Amino acid sequence: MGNMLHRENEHCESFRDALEGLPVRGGVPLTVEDWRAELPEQSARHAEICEECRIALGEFAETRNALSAMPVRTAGPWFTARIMAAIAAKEREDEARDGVWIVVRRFAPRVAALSVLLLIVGGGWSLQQSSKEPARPAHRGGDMVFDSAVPQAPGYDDGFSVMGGIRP
Amino acid sequence: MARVPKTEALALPELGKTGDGAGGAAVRAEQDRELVRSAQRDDKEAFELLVRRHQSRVFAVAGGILRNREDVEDIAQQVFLKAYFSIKRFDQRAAFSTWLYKITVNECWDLLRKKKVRPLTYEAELSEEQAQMYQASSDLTDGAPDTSEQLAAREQVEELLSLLDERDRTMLVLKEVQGFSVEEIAEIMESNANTVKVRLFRARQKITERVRRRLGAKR
Repeated sequence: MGNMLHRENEHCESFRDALEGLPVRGGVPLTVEDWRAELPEQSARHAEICEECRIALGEFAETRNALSAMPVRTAGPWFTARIMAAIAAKEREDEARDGVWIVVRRFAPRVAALSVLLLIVGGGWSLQQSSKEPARPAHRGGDMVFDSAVPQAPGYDDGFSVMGGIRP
Repeated sequence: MARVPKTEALALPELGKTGDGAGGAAVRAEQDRELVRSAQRDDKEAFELLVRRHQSRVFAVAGGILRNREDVEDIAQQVFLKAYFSIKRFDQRAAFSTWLYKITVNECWDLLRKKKVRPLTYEAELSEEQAQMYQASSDLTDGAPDTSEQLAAREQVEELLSLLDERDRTMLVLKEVQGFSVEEIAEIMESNANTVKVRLFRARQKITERVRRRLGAKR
C-alpha cells in the first residue's frame, strides 16, 4: 500500500511538472481537453484516473484562460535610441560632477609635498629668528637661590666674599 | 492597444524561444555572454545590442506588474541604465537575462512601494468616459484602440490579480503570461522551484475560485 501511494505521488509529481512545462499559447482560451491533449500521453492518462490532478488541470486551464486577456506591453521602435541617449547624458553629468574632484586628486600629492616643504622652511626660519634675538642681561643677584635680588651698596661686605671686591 | 499574440511575443529573437528548444536557448545565452564581456570592456554597441535583444521581455515583465504605461517605460529605462552602470560588477554566474529580469522585478516593486499602491489594484469600475480617456492615453504609442469588450476583459484580469499578494502575482504573470519556466522564475525571485510550484498552485486556486464565483453570480 505504501509503495502504491509512493508511486501515485511520483505520477502526480510527474503530472504537475508536465503541466508547468506547457508553453503559453497565444491569447486564445483553450478548453481543459485542449490542454490535456498537449500533455505527454502518460500524464494525460494520469489526469483521467487521479482526481486531484484532474482538478489541478481544470484550475490550470481556467487561470490560463482568465489571464489570456492580459495585454503584453511592447517597447516602441525609439526605445533603444532613448536608452543610449540617456546613458550618454548620465555619463556627461557624472564627468562634470567628478571634474573638480579629479583635479584635486590629480594635484593632491604635489599639494601635500608643497605643504610639507613650506612647513619645514617655515619652521626653520622661525628657529633661526629666535636664535638671533639678543641674550638676556645677567641678573644681579637672583640667579642663585641664596643671592639677594637687591643690588648692594658699593663697599658693602656681607662676609661671604672670599676676596675683597669679589662677588659671585 | 495592439494585442501581441503571445506566440509571436515568445518568438522574439532575444528570447530564444523560437522552437529551437534547449539548443537555441543555449546559443542565445552564449551570445549574451559574449556581448556582456564586450560591454564590460566599454563597448557601447555591444550593450545596445543587448538592449535590443531584451527590451521586449523587460517591457512585458514590467507590464505584467505595473498598470500604468508611463511607469512601464520609466522602469524599463531605469532597468537598462542600472544594468549599464553596474555591468562591470556582473560576474555572469547567472544568465544575463535572469539578472536583467531580476532587476526589472525589483525596480517594479520599489516603485510600487514608493507609490504605496498595490499592483493592479482593482479600482472602482471606470465610467465609459474615463475608460475612453484611459484608452486614449495608451493609443498614442500602442496603435489600434481596444474595443470596450477588450477593456472590460483587461479590467477583469486586473481584478483577479488583485486577489494575490505582490510575489504571487508576479510569479503567476511571469509563468502564465510571459511563459517563463518554473526554474527561471525561481532564479528571478530568488526562491526555489518547489516554493514557486506551491505558490503557483495556490494562486491558481484563488483565481479559479473567483472566476467560478463570478460565473455563478452571472447565472
